[in-house]
Amino acid sequence: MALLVLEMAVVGVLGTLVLANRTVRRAERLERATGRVEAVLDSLRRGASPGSTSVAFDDVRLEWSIDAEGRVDLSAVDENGGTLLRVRTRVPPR
Amino acid sequence: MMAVSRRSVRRGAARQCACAPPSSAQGTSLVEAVVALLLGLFLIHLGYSVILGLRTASETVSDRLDVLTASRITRSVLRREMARGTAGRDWVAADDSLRLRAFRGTAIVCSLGPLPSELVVAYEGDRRPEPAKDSVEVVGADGSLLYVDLIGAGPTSTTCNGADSTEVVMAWRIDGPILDDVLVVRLFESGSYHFARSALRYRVGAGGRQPLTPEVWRDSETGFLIGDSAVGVQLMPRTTVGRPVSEFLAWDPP
Repeated sequence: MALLVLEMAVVGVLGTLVLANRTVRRAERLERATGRVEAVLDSLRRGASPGSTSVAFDDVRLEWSIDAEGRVDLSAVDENGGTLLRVRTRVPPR
Repeated sequence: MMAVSRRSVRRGAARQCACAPPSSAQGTSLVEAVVALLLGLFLIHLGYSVILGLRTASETVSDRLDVLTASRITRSVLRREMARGTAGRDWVAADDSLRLRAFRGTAIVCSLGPLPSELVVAYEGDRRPEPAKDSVEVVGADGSLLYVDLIGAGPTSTTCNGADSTEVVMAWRIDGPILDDVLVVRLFESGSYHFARSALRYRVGAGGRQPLTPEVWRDSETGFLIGDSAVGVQLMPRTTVGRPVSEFLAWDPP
């Protein structure tokens, strides 16, 4: 019985570690995506033409579209296709 | 004599049987003790291993979080400071340092004050003006710029039409002539950011370098990336768990 309790505790600790590691990895990926999104938006604010574009940075892919009025819909997507970050804003149209 | 002798032998045998278990039972007990001892040692070893592993994992996660925090602070602080100025005129980046006019607020000029070199302004900014370390950029109606020291800032009874609730009406005295057509005054302090001793540090004027981030960077591989049209930063974590990060900071028009 004592061994069973001990085994459950060890499994619980290891599971917590795995979850913590996964959370930190996701935070790192989100942080990188945020930095890339800031850079792209900074570029778009200098003047952007309407259309859709996609750019890959390491394990993050940025996809954005701009309409004629300068409305931007930008998403950061990970390698599994999950959306990490989505931003809707407006930039001065070219 | 013989009968007495047999009885005493039987009694002795009986006493012997009552005091000591059979020889096979003695061997089983010893094996159990050894097994119990080994099992106990194994459990202690397992416990220590788990504790050590937890400690290592905890330190690793903590290091990674420090790197994340330092990266976020570095990016947000530098991008904001550089966005408030113009490349070449207000800031210059080198390998591991950024010298700049760090703008801290903007004031709309309401009127000229009663004293020479005094302006009544409606001010809004990150902090209140500090004449001991602040200077101002005076912007004229034609876009001309003048940089002078701020020598006094205080309350005034003069009203300012158009000032809203987020602005503070103040009287500023500057160390220089006042343009007749002055429109806006921007408050700044001269400072510099440095990557030194594993952290991003800020220095106001000739003061000491104050750390803004945890000390997580490898100095030899961390610094500004000066490109043809943009300025970025490369951040290399000191620990082995982190990956190098390159971040865009600002456009640097030629």
